[in-house]
Amino acid sequence: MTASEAPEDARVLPGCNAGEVSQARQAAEQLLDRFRRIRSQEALETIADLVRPRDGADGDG
Amino acid sequence: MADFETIPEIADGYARGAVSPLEIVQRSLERIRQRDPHLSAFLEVAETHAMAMAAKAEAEIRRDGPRGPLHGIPFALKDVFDREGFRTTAQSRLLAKNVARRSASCVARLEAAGAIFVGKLATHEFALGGPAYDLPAPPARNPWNPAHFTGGSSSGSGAAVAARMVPFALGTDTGGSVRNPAAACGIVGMKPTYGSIPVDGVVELSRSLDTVGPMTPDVTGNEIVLRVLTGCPTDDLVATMAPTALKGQRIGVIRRFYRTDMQADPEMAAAIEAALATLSDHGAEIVEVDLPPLQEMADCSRVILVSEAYALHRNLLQSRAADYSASTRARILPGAFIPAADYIRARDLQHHFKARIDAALAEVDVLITATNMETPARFDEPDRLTLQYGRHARAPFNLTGHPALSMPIGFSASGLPLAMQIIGRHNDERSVYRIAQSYHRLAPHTIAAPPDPD
Repeated sequence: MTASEAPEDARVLPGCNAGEVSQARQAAEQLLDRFRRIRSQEALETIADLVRPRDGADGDG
Repeated sequence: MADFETIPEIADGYARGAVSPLEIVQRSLERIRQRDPHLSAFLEVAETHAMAMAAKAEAEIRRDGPRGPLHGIPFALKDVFDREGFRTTAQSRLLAKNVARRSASCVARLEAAGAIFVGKLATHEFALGGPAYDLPAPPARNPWNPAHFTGGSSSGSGAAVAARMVPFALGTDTGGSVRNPAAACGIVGMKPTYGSIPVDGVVELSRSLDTVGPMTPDVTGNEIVLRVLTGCPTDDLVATMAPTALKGQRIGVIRRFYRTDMQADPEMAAAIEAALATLSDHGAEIVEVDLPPLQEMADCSRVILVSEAYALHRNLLQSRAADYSASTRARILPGAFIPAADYIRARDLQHHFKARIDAALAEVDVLITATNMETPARFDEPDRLTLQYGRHARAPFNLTGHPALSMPIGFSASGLPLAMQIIGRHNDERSVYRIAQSYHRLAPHTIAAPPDPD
């Protein structure tokens, strides 16, 4: 999907030229590319962590 | 009146009857008239108001003595702070006619303590846009060399205090915007613990990061302003500490930030090492600490900042984008492309990184590292100015909310200020000021005023 086709781009486009929006998208993508590579213990993405009971009670299904 | 440059000096002068509020405010206004045409620090000067308040303060002091160290002290505000009856423009066309109906709480506290509002200071548009020439007013210039940038976004605050037009100013720090101009202009700038100073009446940029901070020529004055802003007593300042206060202090140095994660300019790195040696020679223990990579914390902070800034400005960007500076649009628009899941993860990681820095500070009294990696660029070097935008070690402490102070530690070969950053535990600004004041006593030549511009 090109910058001009993305729905969010259409919403931010009024008053901003396509070049500006394209550059902003690129800047965001570069930032997100670095950010998403941050690894931390809290960012474990196993299924066990996703379904871990939050209140300490046993979950059995 | 060459000696009455800092808050403690002026307050002492008032107490002794050696100088009066009218004299100090008149001098401030005269300096603004003489120096500001070269520096563009001020957007608006409240001359009539300041003189009336000075006369009032003078009568009060003559009758009852000073009611505190800020009584009769002139100050100025980055133009994101509301002061009742005056415009708050955030240096934007969008707020050109915005007159504050009430003062920000932090401003009200300063005035309740007797400080005298003198005027509004230049800022980057909405505290974000960067030095720009497509705004109602030009960018502020560095008093050490007006061909150079002041650092931002509290650019006018840095210039006004460095040029001694006012003994203190307020700035805001969301990504380093008190510490950056403090470092670039050779003054003391504190970003206190997040949440310690109310932000009502202050133009918002990023609600999870925005912090108000004092900017002064000296450490003691900075501590006085912070105490008043946080509603704390102004006695028992670190200035009253014994000269042996450094003995037994443990300082953790974060060398990786300015040696490997980024490379500071050799002059800056050498000045930081020299400052550490001075502290060590006089009793402090210096230990190296390891923290997560600088870029990780900077990127995490950036995800939060641009997301929140874009959310704030989204509607106006759709209807009045052309009224923003191009550089402001460039910095806000990336927020439109940050998914919610990444923003939420960044907020989660914020706690993780805070815990890492808390763990480091459990072993030492303060941390020290670079503020900026180099001295400020010239305005006619736009590529270098743009590159400098990301070359610093300020953002981690916006992310984690720890108090962080920048102070001058010398000058480059070209005469521009060099600086270091001191970081403390949450709500332990006192330890930060203790180290800063100790260093200032050992290296008083590092706090100096630039020559008058011609």
